[in-house]
Amino acid sequence: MTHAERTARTVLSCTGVTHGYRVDGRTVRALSAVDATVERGVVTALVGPSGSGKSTLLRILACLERPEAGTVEITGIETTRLPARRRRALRRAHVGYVFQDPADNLFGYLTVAEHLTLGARLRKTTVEPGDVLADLGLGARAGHYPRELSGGEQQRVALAFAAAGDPTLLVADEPSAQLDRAATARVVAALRRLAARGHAVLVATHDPEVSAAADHTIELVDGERVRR
Amino acid sequence: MPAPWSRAPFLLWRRPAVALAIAVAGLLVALPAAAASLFLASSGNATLHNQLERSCKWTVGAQVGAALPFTAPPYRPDQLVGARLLQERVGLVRPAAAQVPRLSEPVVSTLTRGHVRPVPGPPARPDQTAVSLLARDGFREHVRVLAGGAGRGIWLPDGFAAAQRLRVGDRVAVAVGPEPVSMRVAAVYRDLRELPDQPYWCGLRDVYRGKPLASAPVYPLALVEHADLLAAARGSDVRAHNTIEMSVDTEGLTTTDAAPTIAGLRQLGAAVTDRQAAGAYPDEAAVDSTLAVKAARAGLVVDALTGTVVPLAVAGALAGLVIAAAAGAFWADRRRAELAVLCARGVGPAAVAGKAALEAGGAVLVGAAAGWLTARFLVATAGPSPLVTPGATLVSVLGAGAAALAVLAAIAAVAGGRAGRLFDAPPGHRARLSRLPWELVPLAAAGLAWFLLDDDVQLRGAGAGAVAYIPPRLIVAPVLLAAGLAMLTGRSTWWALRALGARSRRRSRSRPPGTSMRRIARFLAWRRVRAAPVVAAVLVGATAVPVALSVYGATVIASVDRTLHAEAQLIVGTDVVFTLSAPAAVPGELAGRASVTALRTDGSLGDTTVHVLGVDPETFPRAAFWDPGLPGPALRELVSRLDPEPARPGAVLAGMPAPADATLELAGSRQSLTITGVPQLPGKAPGNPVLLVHRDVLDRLVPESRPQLWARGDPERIVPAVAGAGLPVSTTSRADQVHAAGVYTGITYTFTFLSAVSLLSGVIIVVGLLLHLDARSRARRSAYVLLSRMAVTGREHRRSLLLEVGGLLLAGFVTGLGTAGVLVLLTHTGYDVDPGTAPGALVTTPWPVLAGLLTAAAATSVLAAAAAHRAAARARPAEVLRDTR
Repeated sequence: MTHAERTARTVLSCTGVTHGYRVDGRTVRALSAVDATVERGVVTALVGPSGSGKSTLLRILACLERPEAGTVEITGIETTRLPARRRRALRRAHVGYVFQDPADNLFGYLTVAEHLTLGARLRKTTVEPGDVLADLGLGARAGHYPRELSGGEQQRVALAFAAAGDPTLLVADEPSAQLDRAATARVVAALRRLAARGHAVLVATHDPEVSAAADHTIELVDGERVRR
Repeated sequence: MPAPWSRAPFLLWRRPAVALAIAVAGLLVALPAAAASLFLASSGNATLHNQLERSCKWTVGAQVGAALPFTAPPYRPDQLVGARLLQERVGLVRPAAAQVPRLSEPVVSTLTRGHVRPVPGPPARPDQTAVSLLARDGFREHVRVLAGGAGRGIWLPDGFAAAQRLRVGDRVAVAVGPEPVSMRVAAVYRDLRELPDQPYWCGLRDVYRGKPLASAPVYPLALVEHADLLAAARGSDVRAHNTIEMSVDTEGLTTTDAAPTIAGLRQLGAAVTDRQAAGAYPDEAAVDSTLAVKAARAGLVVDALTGTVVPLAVAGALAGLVIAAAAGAFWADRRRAELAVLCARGVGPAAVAGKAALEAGGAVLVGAAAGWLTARFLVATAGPSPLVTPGATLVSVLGAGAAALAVLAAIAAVAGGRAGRLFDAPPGHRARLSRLPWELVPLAAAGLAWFLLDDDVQLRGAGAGAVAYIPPRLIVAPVLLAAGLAMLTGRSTWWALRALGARSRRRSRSRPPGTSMRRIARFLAWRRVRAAPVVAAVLVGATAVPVALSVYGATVIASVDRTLHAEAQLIVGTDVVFTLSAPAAVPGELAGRASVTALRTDGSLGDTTVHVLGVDPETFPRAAFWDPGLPGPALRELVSRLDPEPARPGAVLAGMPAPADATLELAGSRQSLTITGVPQLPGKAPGNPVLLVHRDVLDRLVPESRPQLWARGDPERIVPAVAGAGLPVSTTSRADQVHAAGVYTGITYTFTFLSAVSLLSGVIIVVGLLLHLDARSRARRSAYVLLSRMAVTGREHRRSLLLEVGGLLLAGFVTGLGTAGVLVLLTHTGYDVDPGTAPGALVTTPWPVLAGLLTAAAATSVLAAAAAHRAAARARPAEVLRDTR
């Protein structure tokens, strides 16, 4: 793949991202000068031990948090200095985010199909829930409420919900953390299918099964990227 | 509209705790907002009815009085007289009165002087046969008949009938003019002076009882029908006094309802004095009605209250909005996951605020409606009067509506703000805002209010006299100051906890683990407080405000009351002063707290008229009022300077400078005196200098003086004791009635409202505390499960909660007390609403209120700790330990 092709496929890139937190008056460094890119149609895994800064980097890349230093570009737009309103607009248009706990991603008063409709409406588009759900193996669950689904099903619905409206970038924080192996396998399959549909998929994970399924891996240790 | 918004109105009911919190917030804001106008209207109506109850119903309505001649004057021979004139008057007034709302049918009275003597019978002295001859509509139903009562004739009081040896059926000669007419004695009734006054007779009280302090003789009241009186006076040159009286139906009368009646009464007056009525009222007619003055006075009290009640209501509503904001935060916490999903997808704070408003709308409306109903109920049951005006009801509904909107706005703003801070918050923004010295705002506002707001203690209205009131600055400035000091305390608490926390952490790092675990309850409580310094600071500050305002309000009420009572006692001289028509001894029941004095009001010192009070130095100090706060020597010491020594006796003078020429002139007698000048003496009303002398000195100077009995104690016991002893009392002056004319009612109402707002603030604190405890219940459940696995007993856990909650409430209580002390220190000189009268402000500590607040704080601590422990203890360890969120 040429550099030009690679650049054209790049949805997200960050350079020199540095971030820290104040704890009891002291600054704890979470990230130090991290560079990374995420491409369209590719599943990228963000791996590293607990406390390595995976979630912080994920939030920064998903435009949920501003880094202290460094730049983050989504579809070529430098986001770190954008006003909050434009960052929200960018998130709405380009970013789908999946939280770690399946239940945290879903609304108890909406059915599976309604989630997809809502996801699309928030991006001012429409969706045919049946097709998407069938693609993710959830065709029979369209009329079900989240409490009627298993954890794995909930997480796949969360992925579908995040992907509704076709955001450019799909970000998932430990999507298999609370799932058994079988459910994890189905979530991984779902991630792959979403990447195949043209989404850039970025997944923070501890799970070797998930990272093994990724096309590309970014490894963090103590807030720094490890290059092998 | 996407589902999270379109379904929002139905979502809140899935979370009853949040719905309840929001409804309570709506109630707490709507209650003061709705109560203000209702309370003001209630105060106005109470003032109106207080005056009406003390007034003669005919003077409230209308009294049209004029002379009734029985012969036309030579210069106007065609003038109507007697029966035809009376008929003309009634024909004029009756239809005019019918047009006036709430006005009764006219009652016509004609009064003249006459003589009644038995026929046959020996000639009698004129003073023995003189009567006040009265014809009055419906008199038969308003006397207690002792004999007779049927048929026409004259009705005689029992005393007169007995003196004249007259019985029912006897014939009497009734002389009004030169020609007496013969009448039958139709009835003998109980003399009205022997019975309590009836409302029907109140307009004629001076006729049958005599005017107070007047020396004119009072004649027996003989009652006849109008036809008989007119017949007796026909052709005479007597001019009777004719009155047409109408009363106002005061049942349920409000200040608003009074307006058309007042307007109608003005038209009635105009009709009587109109030129066209010249035939009915050839002479000048007097049309009297006090309803307009009473209504104006009620309006004046409302005006006086508005300046304090409205700011208090606003303060109460603002305090309630804190709970609304807390409810908004509560909602955002309980919706955190959903908000996170929405915000991660680019939904902004405004949209989240809209969602919060849509969700909370129903609960807020329910709360606001409950707040309005509570306000209406409280005003109806505990307010000055259950009556409110329709205008006030409308304003209160609008107030509750505005409160509902404000609550929704607060919830939406907090929810939107929380959502905005979920992601993408500018670092350090919140910390910078919290570091700003916000407490300086209310402190500066308090200073401004103190200097800018009115400090008058009286409000005057055209034709309505004056009412004393608490100047707005005595309410507004302390409320702002209390809020500022509470905020300052909260910030200090936060700083102190952070500093202590840092020190504790340093110490715990340098000590071996376990050394501080010996007292586990204290350890846990302290760690919890230290871990949440903001919550602790808010709780301390929030508790301090209602405590400060309650104690301050109660102190002002008690001090104003004590000061006013002391002033009244000083004006009257003591609790009760009886003026006697003949000298008498102190009744045995009042021995030791009563004294007989003698008064002359016509003494002269130089060119100044003075009241001369002759007292017994032995008994007077115990019978007269004196307060140690009064300037100058104590009364006992002053009285000891009175001596009866004939050459130059000692005397004490108040109300004017002691003159160089100390010679008292009294009824032509002169007496040189050694005078001690003092600023104040008991019985010295403004404008009347009082000279206190030994009783013997006064007796030597003049043979007659007005004897008085001074008595200290409860007037409700003293008055019956004096009546039981048969003392010849002509007038009674009571200190507790000096201020009963509605002058000071506004002050009472002001502090009633302040107390209610303070109570509301207390409820707000309790609700806030419950919200706080509920918000932390999840963490507490987990902590309790873990602690119980470390052998911490339920008792220790409960104790730790009690120490945590109780300690913070106690700190808030002490801060509130201190704040109240500062407020009283700064404002105590303003507690004298009649600064022209001694003894000036007397500060009183409201011990019952202090005890009540302390009890409430203790009870709240115990119950809150017990409830929190119970909620934690109900946790199922298996679920808690599996719960990873």
